[in-house]
Amino acid sequence: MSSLFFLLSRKLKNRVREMLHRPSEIVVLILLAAMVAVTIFSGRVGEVNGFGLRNIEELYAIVFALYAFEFILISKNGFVNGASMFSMADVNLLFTSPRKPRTLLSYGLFGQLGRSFFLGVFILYQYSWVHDSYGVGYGFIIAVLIGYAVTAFVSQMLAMLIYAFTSSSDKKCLAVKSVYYLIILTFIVRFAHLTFSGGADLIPSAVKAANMSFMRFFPVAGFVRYGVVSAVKSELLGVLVSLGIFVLCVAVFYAVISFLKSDYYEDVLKATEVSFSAITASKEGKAAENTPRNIRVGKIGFKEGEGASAIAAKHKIENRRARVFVLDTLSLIFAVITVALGFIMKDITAAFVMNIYFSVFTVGTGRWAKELLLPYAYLIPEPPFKKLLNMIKEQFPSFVAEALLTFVPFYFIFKCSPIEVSGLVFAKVSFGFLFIGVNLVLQRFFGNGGNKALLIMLYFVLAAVFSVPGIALGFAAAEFVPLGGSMYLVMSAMNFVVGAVTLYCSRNVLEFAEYNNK
Amino acid sequence: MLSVKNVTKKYGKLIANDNVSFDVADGEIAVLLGPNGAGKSTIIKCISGLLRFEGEIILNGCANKTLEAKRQLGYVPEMPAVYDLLTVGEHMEFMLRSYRMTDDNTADRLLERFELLDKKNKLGKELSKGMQQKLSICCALVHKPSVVIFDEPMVGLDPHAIKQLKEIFKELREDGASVLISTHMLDSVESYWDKAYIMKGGSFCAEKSAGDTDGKSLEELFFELTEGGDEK
Repeated sequence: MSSLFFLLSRKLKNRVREMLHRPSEIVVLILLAAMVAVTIFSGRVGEVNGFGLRNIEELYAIVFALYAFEFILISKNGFVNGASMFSMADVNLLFTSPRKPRTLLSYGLFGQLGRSFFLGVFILYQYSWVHDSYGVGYGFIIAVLIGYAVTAFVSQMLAMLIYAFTSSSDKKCLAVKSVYYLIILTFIVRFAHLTFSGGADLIPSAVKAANMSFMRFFPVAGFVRYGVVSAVKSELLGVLVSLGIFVLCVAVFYAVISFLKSDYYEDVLKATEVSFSAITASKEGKAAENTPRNIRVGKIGFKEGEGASAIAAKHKIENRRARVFVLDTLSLIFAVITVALGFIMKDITAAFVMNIYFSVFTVGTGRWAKELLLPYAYLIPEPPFKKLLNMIKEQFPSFVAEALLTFVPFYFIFKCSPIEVSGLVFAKVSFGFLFIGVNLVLQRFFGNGGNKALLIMLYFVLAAVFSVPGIALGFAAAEFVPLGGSMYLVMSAMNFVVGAVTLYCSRNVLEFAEYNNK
Repeated sequence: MLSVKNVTKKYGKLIANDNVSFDVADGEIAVLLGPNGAGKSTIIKCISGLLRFEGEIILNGCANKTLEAKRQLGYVPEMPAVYDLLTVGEHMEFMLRSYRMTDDNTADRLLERFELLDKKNKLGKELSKGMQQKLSICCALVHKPSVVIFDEPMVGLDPHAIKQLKEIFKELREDGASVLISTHMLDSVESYWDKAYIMKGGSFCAEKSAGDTDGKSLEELFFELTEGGDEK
């Protein structure tokens, strides 16, 4: 048996064996499967009758946007670290062994193809709403997932290729980068032109522009979307053309890397090391700090902070150097998406719900959560509640700023009353506060240990449970108080109460939680 | 004075520390030895107040989780603990401010000893792993603790830093501090240990004083007690 086949099969076998020995992993797997089942089931509860369905072209445009975004996100790494389909163990044990680089490249590609499918698992959970809104079946979702994996795979190969040919020369890098962005910009300009010249209603124009045949030439995402849509429409020719381009891309990239650049080991080393450092840091309990490549240190030293408040003062310095001015990039993106959704859906509640859903993700990524991964927060001789308050202090200005940035535009989009906008802003801040409480409850009982996937699921469940009192009271208020925004204001008040109680109950988390940096 | 009394730490069914008791007197250097997985880092984290446990841990008369005990404790973790976006100097300032202390030049002296003074304005993320370890040691010592716990402090250090650290161990002893060092580098602590606690399977399998070794080296004692014979 080939040693590489032995390695692949043994890794798979040991992964399954490890899972069987860890009940928490089985629980996660069952829950994930159950969630897929629920989305399929819930999507089929109301069998579609074709009445009131949205235009399917919108969905094709969304798929294209998803693939295009994925392509840019992955392939642009070629100008920084490149991409690697190998682990650090592969680098240390296989690259140094007497094997042909081409054989190892095939091994790396094979492993990457499998991983690409896992990247797109989240697509499976979209069945319910796409089925309800567009009447598509599960075959569509599977086709989109395959397309997502193909896009990831080809983009990864392209990133590897870009790095291999540009890493040695700044001039080459600049030239390739210019061409790369020029191509993307051409499509963006064309898209924008078609959208804005298509009439007063921008959404149909944007959908039409995204689905034009010109967009099929967008790198990778274009032909992949073409193949997926053709498959859904049972158009064999489209599928074959798309498949042909895919095979051609892989063959060309493979040939270029393995024949013209046979000594590609150095080109994948950096990406492997970067990925290995991130994994090691995560295993050692260090949250990866998302810092700019060139940090401007600026003014050095603390201007304030004594005892527990030194933590809050430290956060100010760290935020300045990370170029986080009140809002981080992720919060900004979510704010823009919410405004765009509000604009498209013309539905305040739906946009608000989506924004709160985003908050569930952003709250746990605050600086206070990173603080829990180093020992100092536990060691500092100050009352635990005081330390905790100073740790979460930096979150509130960002909650308020994000809420204002997101919901003040609603005043113009929906002509909301100032009270309603205020209600939305308060509700947004209150949910942020509430979700911090949920995080702390989990920290109180599990520390940094336990199965991460299971903890994330538990976090979602608790976030939903803790939100129930506010939502229930909010709906009751909407029913009985004839004032626009009363629902959000009452919801906020209840959330603040629940959040405050949770925070108070978790006040000694820094004293009693288990610090586990592994 | 550090006193650990009947400490048991369980992770589910796994007993990481089983009824562990020992003392480190003022002005004493105790070494904690044992094979990988013996429970050394766990007991150290319990002492540092980072884990829950059954039993009692007292630092200079105070339970280890009290603020008074925390004030007197210095802890060097097994993995370097530094903030990516603070400079070396700011790490020192942060520690001093957190402990409500004013700088009497201790910070600079420590940085100088570990050859970090010229890197005072470098960010934590710009330091190599060895330099991060040096900074981690400086952070643990800058507030002048009287009970100092080192968990594998020499990993990644260059010869100069190891020499400085050995001198610091001795200085801490002279100043009356209780020093507990967990290490696998037996020969590095050979010349100055006062007490050795050897762990195996979560509990102590032996306890030796420096004057009670029958002329055997720490390494010989270690293999004799953990493997029942001389490895050499």
